[in-house]
Parts: sequence; structure tokens; C-alpha cells
Amino acid sequence: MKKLFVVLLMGALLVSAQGLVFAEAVGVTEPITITFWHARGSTVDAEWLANSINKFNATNTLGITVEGVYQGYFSDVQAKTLASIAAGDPPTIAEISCTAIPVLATQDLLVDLTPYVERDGFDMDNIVEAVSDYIYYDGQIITMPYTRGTAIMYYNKDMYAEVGLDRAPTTLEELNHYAKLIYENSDGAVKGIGYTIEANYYQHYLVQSLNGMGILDADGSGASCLEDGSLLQFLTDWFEWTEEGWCAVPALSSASSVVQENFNNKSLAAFVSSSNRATTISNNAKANGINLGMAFTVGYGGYSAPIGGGSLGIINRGNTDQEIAAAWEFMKFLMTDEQVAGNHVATGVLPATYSSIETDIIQECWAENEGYKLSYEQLDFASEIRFSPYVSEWSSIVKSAMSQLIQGRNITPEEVVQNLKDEAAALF
Amino acid sequence: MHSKYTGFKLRRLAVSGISFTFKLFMLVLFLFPFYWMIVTSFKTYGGSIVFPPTLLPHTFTLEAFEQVFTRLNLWNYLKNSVIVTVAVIVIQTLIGVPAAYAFSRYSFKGRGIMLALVMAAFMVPTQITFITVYIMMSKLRWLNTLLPQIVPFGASAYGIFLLRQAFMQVPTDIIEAARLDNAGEIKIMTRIMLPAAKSSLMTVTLFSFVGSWNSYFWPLVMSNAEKVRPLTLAIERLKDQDAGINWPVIMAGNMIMVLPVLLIFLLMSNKIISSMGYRGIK
Repeated sequence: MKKLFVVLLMGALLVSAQGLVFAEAVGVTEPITITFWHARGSTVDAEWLANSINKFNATNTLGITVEGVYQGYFSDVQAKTLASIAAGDPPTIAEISCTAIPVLATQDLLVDLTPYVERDGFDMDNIVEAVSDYIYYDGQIITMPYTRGTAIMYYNKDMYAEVGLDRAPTTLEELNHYAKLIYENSDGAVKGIGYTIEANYYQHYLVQSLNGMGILDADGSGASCLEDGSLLQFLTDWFEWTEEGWCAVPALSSASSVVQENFNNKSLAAFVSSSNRATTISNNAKANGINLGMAFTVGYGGYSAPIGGGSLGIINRGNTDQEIAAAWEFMKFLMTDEQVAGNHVATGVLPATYSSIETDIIQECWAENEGYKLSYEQLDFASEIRFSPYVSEWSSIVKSAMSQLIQGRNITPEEVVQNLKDEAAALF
Repeated sequence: MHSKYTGFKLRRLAVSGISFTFKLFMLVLFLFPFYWMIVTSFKTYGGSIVFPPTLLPHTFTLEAFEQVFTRLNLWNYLKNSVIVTVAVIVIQTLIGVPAAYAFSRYSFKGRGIMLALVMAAFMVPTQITFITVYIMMSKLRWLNTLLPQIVPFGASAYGIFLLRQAFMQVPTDIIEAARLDNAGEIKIMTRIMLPAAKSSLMTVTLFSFVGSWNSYFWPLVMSNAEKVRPLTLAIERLKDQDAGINWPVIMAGNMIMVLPVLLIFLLMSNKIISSMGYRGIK
């Protein structure tokens, strides 16, 4: 009897354990409301998302209502999501940045979508390979690409043509040469190029063009750029560019906005920003009479570019099976060709599926506006920062160090690298 | 004699000249941000980022105000701000006045400790308490309501302290006389104390109003749904930082935000100044 009881207990434990590990996909059986936390606050982003949500709410036949909640920037979404999970009241689905995905994934806070993908025959091969790195973790499907972007160069074609470059630069050396000429020809009134500090994005690809790795190693648990001299070289160069005056020093606050204001008032000839802002930047340039060019970003010796942006993840704490199933339905809707293509055309975010690229929506857009097509083509040589639980903290540390050098100007590049070595030793 | 008189006049003229210049400087210093906000709200985006900046708009437009109203469901946010602000003021008054009266006029066991606790609460910044309060509100399932923006501010330590100080200035003889005339404690509090402390009450109310109306951090943390967010969060949403800040739109939003505060301050400024002056003399 005792043995039988033990066997039954073991059996029950196994069944329940299996239930935990291999969660089954369930269907939505009753009307339900789910919350979607996102970082899409800019005018065009918010309009597009509101349209998407309204359309889903009006057309889905399962009685699902999505409530979109803007939570600020990606860092705010990350902080609030973690806090809400701790408090037991998380959103059902969230737009999560590349740096935040490892933080959530390694703590097992994201739903494994595999059973849903398999049940509905969702074609994972249709997802553009270049934006698929942050989809998988530990054999699971944890996110879907949603607002993925790449950095592109926005430049004033007329200003560059005036100094002799009537096409986009193909190397950093070429860009710098003409940026310097613009600065000198304007007696210092116009800066040739400006970068904001996004260590894991804009500066990452510049370092990557030197060491093939960027600010974080391939295994995500070290930073050999500190030892191989690549970070020191880049920091020394960047400091000198700003010292010479032709490269703009990022503003201490709202740097991204200030760069764009300077571009629009014609005191800056070029800047690097996300492709996700292509629509807004194009509209503003047009309104201010600027002949806008969009180009591949360049690194030392040739093209180099990062991939970043946000993905959709379903939170697996504090949500019922029904809420998770409803979130999956919404996620699937956002991954339809019409939504992916519309999102790209309306805002500039990268199209995440191959089939969406074949749609008339995208083909017509690309025929009229080469800049949007260019952001997609850039994926051929762009790469993502490594998936690592350290990426969020390390990016933040490197950004602070870069800020101290470029904005604070009270430290040498050598001291920055030494300080980062100390930080790395404590972190990794 | 004549030259002495002239010298005195010159000195007086110089002093009043310096005084006038200083006042003018201070006036410009404080009014210029308001002027800049108003002027920018009537500029085009291009006009707002032109360098060097212009003191007047080249093209006068109401486009920014139109955008504020089209981009935001402004009435919903406005309604939330009004409900939260009014509720906080009413609850603070209902709790603060009796508490201040008790602290100023009653001797009871533990009064000193309780007053010290009130003062300690006065000194603790919300940044220290928000995590625990957030968890509490979450467990109560209040995060999708306006309650987390109201309930934690139901008692104001600053208000209790200020009113207590004002109540203490009312002569004991008047209260004793009222008691001899069979006046109850509530009657004494409402008919004698409150009229005597009207200026302080106005000050407390105004500060509560400004604090609640302008509150940004707390509602940002404590709200998980658009339907319960106040105007401050809506205005911030106009910022569009990553895509370039549209200053005329921001300034138009700020004007809508600031207008009620300015109006109330203008209406109550005499009371506030007299309240400060009274305690100063005392």
C-alpha cells in the first residue's frame, strides 16, 4: 500500500512537472481584456499602434480587447515591467528592448511561445534572419520582432555636394574628411556630423568595425575591446573629432532631439539615428526645406551597422492561460503581412518578415523612397549586440564612461579604458 | 547746506535707481520663461528651432494647440487631474484641520511623539516610499484606479504643521470664552480657529493644489492604464524626444497645464503673502 502510494505520488509529481515545463497552448474561450505596455510614444508610432489595436479589437472574433499603455522609453518599460512582476500585477504583453530581453529571459519571465507556434503552424522561417537573434533562448521561442531598427545616416545632400561629395560616404574616413570640409567652409557655423551616446548601438558598430566584435564579446561575458586597443582607438579618435570642432558634442539632455533640431536649422550636416525615426525625420526635413539623404552607416574602412529596437514578449508571471492565449492572438495579428508592412511604411521600423516585403504596401513605398529600402538592405552587414545577461548593465557602464569623456571632458581616453577594465572585472 | 541737500537727493536717486534696476531684473528673470512659453506656442516648428532664436514668431499660428487637442484625449486627462486635485485638497483639509487643532490645543499622552512622527513624515521623500506603496496598491488592485494618486496624500504633514502653528497663535482667552458660552469643539474649530487661520489654510490649499496638479513621478509609477493618468503625463507624451522635440506643441501643452495654477495664484496671492507676513511678525 505504501509503495503504491509512493508510486502514485511520483506519478502525480511527474505529470505536474511536465505541465510546468511543456506548457500547452490553450485557446481563448471567453471575452477577455489584456494590457500591452509599450514605448511607442512619438506621433507616428502612437498613431500607428492605436490603429493596430483598434483594428484588432474590432475584428478579432474571440472577444479579446487590448489596452495599450505607453510607459515611456524602453528603459521605463523594462523598469516598470520588472517592478510590476515583483508586485504581482504585470502587463500581459510588452514591447521589450534588445538589452532587456536577456534580463527577462534569464529569469524565466517570458512565455515560451513554441507550443503556440507549433499549434498554429506559424512560419518561423518567414522571419527575417537578421532580426531573429533575440527570438530564441535556451531552446525556446520567447519574443517576436516588432520595432526592430538599424542605425542609418541622415545627411543634408546639398551641404555635402557643396564640398564635393555628391553621393553618400562609403567609409568613416571619407565621411570625416567631408564633415571637416563643411565645418571649415562655414567658418565653424556648421558641424559636419553628430552622434548621440548609445553605447550598445551607435558606438557599438564603430568599435565593431575595428575589432569585429563591438563593446561586448561573442560569448557575451567579456569585453576584449578593452584589451585589444580598439575601444581606446575609437575613444581617442572621437575625442579628437569633437576637439577639432567638426563633430558635434552630444547635448547633456534630450541629445537625440537636439541633434535633429540642429540638423533642421542647418547647423549640422549629418547625424546617425535609428531607422525607426525615418518617417518623422523625413517629415521634419521636408518642412524645413532640407534635401535629405539616407545612407548606410559607415565604420572604419567600410560599412558597419548595428541592429536594435524592440520585440514583443508575453509575461509568464501573474497572467492566466487565457490572458497568455489572448496575447498570442494579438502577437500573431501584429505579425501579419499587412501589419508588418504598414508598421514599416508608417514609421520606418524594419520589416520583420520576408512575406511582408513582397506586399504592394512595401514595394510601392520602396519605389518612392529609397531610404526605407536602404534600411532593410543594410541588414546584409548589420549585426546585433550579443545576447547576454550583462548587456544592459555593461551598456549603461560604457555609456557613462563615454559621457564622462565626450561631454564631461575631464578625463583622458586612457583613464576611461582603465576605469572600464575595473568595472568589467567586477561585472563579468 | 545746498550741496548737502543735493548730495542727499543724488544718493536717494542712486539707491532708488539701483533698486528699480534690481526689481526690473528680477521681474524679467521670473517672467521671461512664461513669455518664452507663450511666444513659442504660437510659432511653427521651423520657427522654434531657428538660430539665433527670435523673440516674436515670424509666422503666428495656432497649429500647436490644434495638435495638442488632436494628439491627446485631453478631456480625459484633464478630468483625472481635476478629480485627483480636488479629492486630495478635500481629504487633506478634513484630516489636517482636526489633527492640527488637536496638536495645538489638547494635551494628551504621546502628543510629542505623534507630532515628531508627523514631522518625520514631512521629511521622508516619496522616492523612498514609492516601492512599498506601489506593492501595496498592486495587492489592493488599485493600480487601474485614481485611488493610488489620492489616498497616500490624504494627510499632509506640512499642512498639519502649518495649521498647528497658525492655531497656536489664536489667544487661549478667546477659546475659553467660547467654551464658557457652551460652544463645542467642532464649533470652536470651525467658527474661531479656521477664520483666524484663513490665510494659512489658503496657503496649505494652494500648495496642495500645486503639488497635486503638477505631480508627475507619482502618477507615472502608480498608474498602469491611460484612463487614470493625469494631464502631466499627457503633456510629457507630447515630448517625442527621440524624434525631435516639437517645442511649440510642448509649450502649448504647458500653457494649458499652467493656466489654472496661474489663475488660482493670482486670485489667492494676497492671502498667501499675508499668511507669510503674519507669522513673520509673530
